[in-house]
Amino acid sequence: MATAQKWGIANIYASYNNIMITLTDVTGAETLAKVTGGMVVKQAKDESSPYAAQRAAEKIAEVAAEKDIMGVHVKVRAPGGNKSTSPGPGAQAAIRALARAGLKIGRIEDVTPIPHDGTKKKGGRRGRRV
Amino acid sequence: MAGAKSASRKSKSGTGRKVKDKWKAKEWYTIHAPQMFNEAVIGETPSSDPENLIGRTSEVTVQDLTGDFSKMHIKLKFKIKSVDGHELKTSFMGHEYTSDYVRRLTRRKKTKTDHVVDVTTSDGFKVRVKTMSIADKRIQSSQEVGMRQVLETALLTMAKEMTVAELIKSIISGDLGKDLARACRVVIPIRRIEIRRTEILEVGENEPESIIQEEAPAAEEAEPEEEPVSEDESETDDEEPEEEPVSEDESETDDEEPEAEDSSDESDTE
Repeated sequence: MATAQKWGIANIYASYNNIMITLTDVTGAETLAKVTGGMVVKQAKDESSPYAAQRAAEKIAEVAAEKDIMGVHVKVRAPGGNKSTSPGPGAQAAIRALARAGLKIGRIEDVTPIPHDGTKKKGGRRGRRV
Repeated sequence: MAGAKSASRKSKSGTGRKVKDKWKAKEWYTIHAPQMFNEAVIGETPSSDPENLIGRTSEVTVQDLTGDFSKMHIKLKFKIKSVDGHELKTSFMGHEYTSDYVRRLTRRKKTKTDHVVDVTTSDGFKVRVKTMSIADKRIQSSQEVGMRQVLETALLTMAKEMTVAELIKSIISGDLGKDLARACRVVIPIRRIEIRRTEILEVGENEPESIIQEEAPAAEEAEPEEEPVSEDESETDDEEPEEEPVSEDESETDDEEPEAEDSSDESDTE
């Protein structure tokens, strides 16, 4: 079948607290699968770990194979806005796991929302005092 | 009891089935680029109802359409406008540079001048053109203002004589940027003006003609991007994920290098 030629988009949202992978079609309108860190690990502190990302990506790849998706374009995203603009520790692991699971990787793009100036970052003038 | 059991079972299997049915009810539709890009296949999208398809957008790089590697930073956006059997027709919405390419160009101590111009083409299309120029050094804001003025008039007169197809073609090929740079030379010499983004605001009457001639239109989606995955797993696995950090590192070093150069230059001049 020619169906094995389909491409999708793996939207990876990697923050320092969690990871969320959403597999969609090329338009981004149809969600094919969604896996978050909490679905694959028990401890809340592990949700953002590379291990969780790997497990999540494996799950995504499984569904992708089921739905005839041959390859994915990757859109990596950090929280962005007035929060951190660097993707969390899971982003790399997720892409690696997707590739390892046999999915072709097309473009990899950073789609972190960058404000053209907006509201003030939380934490106050003197920063977060731990 | 039995009834309750069966009911509970039913509900369970019912929910399970629902999800599956929902997916099974969906059919795949093929997205085609508009005539402007030889109606090349962009990708596929599933839907249970054809009406849902209209308005979806899809992005493709120029490289996917033409196979030209030097144009992989330009993304084209297409919006689905009509359904014909299992084929979807799209209209061109505009183009955009990838954010990492823009960031690679933007450096310290080199003025970046942005401008936004709404132009009307000869065939009635209204296009918002967002330009960006990187000067070789820091330039004065009066120069920036002068440059914007010159650029705006030049762009408006140029676009008036072009059809939208010609405009987009010259933008993608970079000719428009060069022409604009030439026009701006009276204010400040600049190598090239990048057209960072366009948006089609109003559509004219006629369908724009094809702008890709010589390249094989068969070079779609799958082929050019085919990094050698699947076969040699272990190798490619190592390659693939590392792409990102490498690019990030590059951009970082890019940012830093000119600093060092500049500071040395300054010390020399001083």
